Amino acid sequence: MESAPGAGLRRLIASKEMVKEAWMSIMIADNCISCGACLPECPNDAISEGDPIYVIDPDLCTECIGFHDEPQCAAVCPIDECCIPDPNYVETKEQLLAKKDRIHPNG
Amino acid sequence: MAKKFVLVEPKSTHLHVYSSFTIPRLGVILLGTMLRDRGWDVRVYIEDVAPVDMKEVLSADIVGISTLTSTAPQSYRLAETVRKAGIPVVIGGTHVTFLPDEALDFADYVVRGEGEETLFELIDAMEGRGEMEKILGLSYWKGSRKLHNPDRPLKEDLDSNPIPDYGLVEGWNTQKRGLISIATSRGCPFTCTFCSVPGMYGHGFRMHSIERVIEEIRVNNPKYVFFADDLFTANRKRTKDLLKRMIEEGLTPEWGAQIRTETAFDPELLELMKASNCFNVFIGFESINPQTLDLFNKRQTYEKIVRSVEAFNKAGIRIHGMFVVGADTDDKDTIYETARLAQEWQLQSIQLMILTPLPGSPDFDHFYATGNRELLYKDWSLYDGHHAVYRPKNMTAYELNEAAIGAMEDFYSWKNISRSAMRRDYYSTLIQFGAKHLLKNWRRENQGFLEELRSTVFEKAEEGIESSSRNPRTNRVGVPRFILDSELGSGLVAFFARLGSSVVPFSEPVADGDDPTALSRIRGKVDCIVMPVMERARQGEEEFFQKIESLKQWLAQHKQSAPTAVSLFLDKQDGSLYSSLAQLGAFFTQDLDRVHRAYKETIAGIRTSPSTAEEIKPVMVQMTS
Repeated sequence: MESAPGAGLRRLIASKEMVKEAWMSIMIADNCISCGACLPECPNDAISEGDPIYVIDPDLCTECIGFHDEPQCAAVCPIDECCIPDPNYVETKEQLLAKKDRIHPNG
Repeated sequence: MAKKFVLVEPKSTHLHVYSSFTIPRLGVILLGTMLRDRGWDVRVYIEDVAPVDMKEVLSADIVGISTLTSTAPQSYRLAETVRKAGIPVVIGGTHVTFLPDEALDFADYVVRGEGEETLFELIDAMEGRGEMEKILGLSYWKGSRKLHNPDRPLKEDLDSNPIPDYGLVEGWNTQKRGLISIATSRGCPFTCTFCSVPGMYGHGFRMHSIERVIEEIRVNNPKYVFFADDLFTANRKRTKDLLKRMIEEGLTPEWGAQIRTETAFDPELLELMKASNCFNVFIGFESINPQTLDLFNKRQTYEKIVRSVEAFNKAGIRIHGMFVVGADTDDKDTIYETARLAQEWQLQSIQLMILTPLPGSPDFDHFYATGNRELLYKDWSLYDGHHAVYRPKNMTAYELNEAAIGAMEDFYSWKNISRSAMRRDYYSTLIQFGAKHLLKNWRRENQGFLEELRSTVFEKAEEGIESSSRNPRTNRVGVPRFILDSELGSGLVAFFARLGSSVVPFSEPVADGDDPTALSRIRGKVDCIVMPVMERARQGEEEFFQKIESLKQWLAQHKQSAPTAVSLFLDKQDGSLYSSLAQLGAFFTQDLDRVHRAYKETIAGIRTSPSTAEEIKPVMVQMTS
């Protein structure tokens, strides 16, 4: 058993650096179990506890751009296909960066 | 001289799937470590590891006992012995957390929920440095009254607990055993209806820091780690960070953990699991039946099970498949099909646990604590997932128990074991062989229990045949006319016809007793009669209920001369109706599969019949649900 990450892992990490084309706000689907794991992870405080499930404010969601490689809500969510891109909010990377600068004017 | 604290984790009195693999639960080890750090002379006995030395127990200043539901009777016996010797007994664990009143009958103190804070506040209070009334999570005696203080909030800062010291466990040698368990988190965000984990540890997912987990692996240096988390991958980001650190530090013993199917769908996580030396995963598939998955609130589909199996097989990570069988939506076929699929999927090992209403689970609260459903057994030692303790809806408790064991026997067959050997997967071969052996012993040990369950189905029929030995068999069953006129009537006639028996109607005796002849006339012409039972009359059913009552009275007065009466439970929420039908069916066939087929076909017939589908009366709900 090798102790370093395998080749597959390196490939996978490399693939994550590929250029992403479509950016969208993240939405929480109705299979949310309201565990609240996502709440403290969002760098923009875009997530709030709704009834019955948690909700993401699309005006505040930047897909974690500028903070993390991937949306943190999806990364910590115990359910797959719960924190998913919202096709109603397609944005460009530039728009998301501008949004991030607006939310965090001091960087 | 230091005062002595003895901690005991009693073992189950019955054999169970983990009998041959002792992975100790951490509670007593952690508490023992904390006590030792505070200057106590500590002994820790985990009965699955080494026998309890009663001399040590009875020379302690305080004894602490940790209990699960299935070990509760054993724990209570020990508590009584210790209490009789005048030594204070503290009891803790899941079972007593939810039933502290019961536990106080045997112990002086009950520590409810997580014990590490409560226990030490209790010790302080016992030594005069605090008040019992103020200790959250404690139940205790005040004079002759049982008092329950408010619950204690869940512990947030898990890292403040010391690393559990396995060296305290009598008879344990990590290097010899090669394995330990490490808890990296507590709690589960899901709410499966059969599970008591969220009730005990909450939905919030509380985690140890990664540094702490790394340190715990380093200190113990085992060959294999079982991560004792209820759901190791609840927070995938954090699991990835942990596995990356293990790899970076070169601390990659073989490991296993309890996970869900979703884990397989995150390629990065799967790669990291492989790279960090994941040996096997314990997946709570729970059921191959989509309806059952929904009923359990598992939030998982059959398709996801299949996909996850493929992914783990491809990654070369062995799977221990965990299933819960016997839900109201299951029948025997579901159970045997589970074992067949598990073989097809080449799972390394499986456990088919019989659905068990554990105190603290939503099922227990909704069905059994309310009295909506009846428990067949209240001996907690039977609550180990290998004994049917309630009536399922589509089979008898006997068939459920037989199928759960029988299907595991199918899985651990010589054919499957030799297949593992052919693949040169010697570890799996060994595990499977061990399980086969265990099942054989289980059968021997539980023959009496299975016999008892069987007799609940066949007893009436066997009695009936004996008492009417002078009368020839008629292959006929007497059914009250008012039942035949009800919605249930056509179903019953069809059911008995499928068993090769015919229905003889009889008129119910009139309350004033002037014409009971109709019923008395059928004596000798039928093998048994159907005695409908309803617990209470609902609106619109008063007349129906009255007829049942007068029939009941008549039968009570004519016990000697009446044909054998079999109760047909009409309005119970559990599987009583099915059990009744099986008892009736047993008069005409020994083959319970035939009874089941007849039942299934009858229900299918009712469902497709347009006249009854729309306006089902309450009495029929049982037969069609």
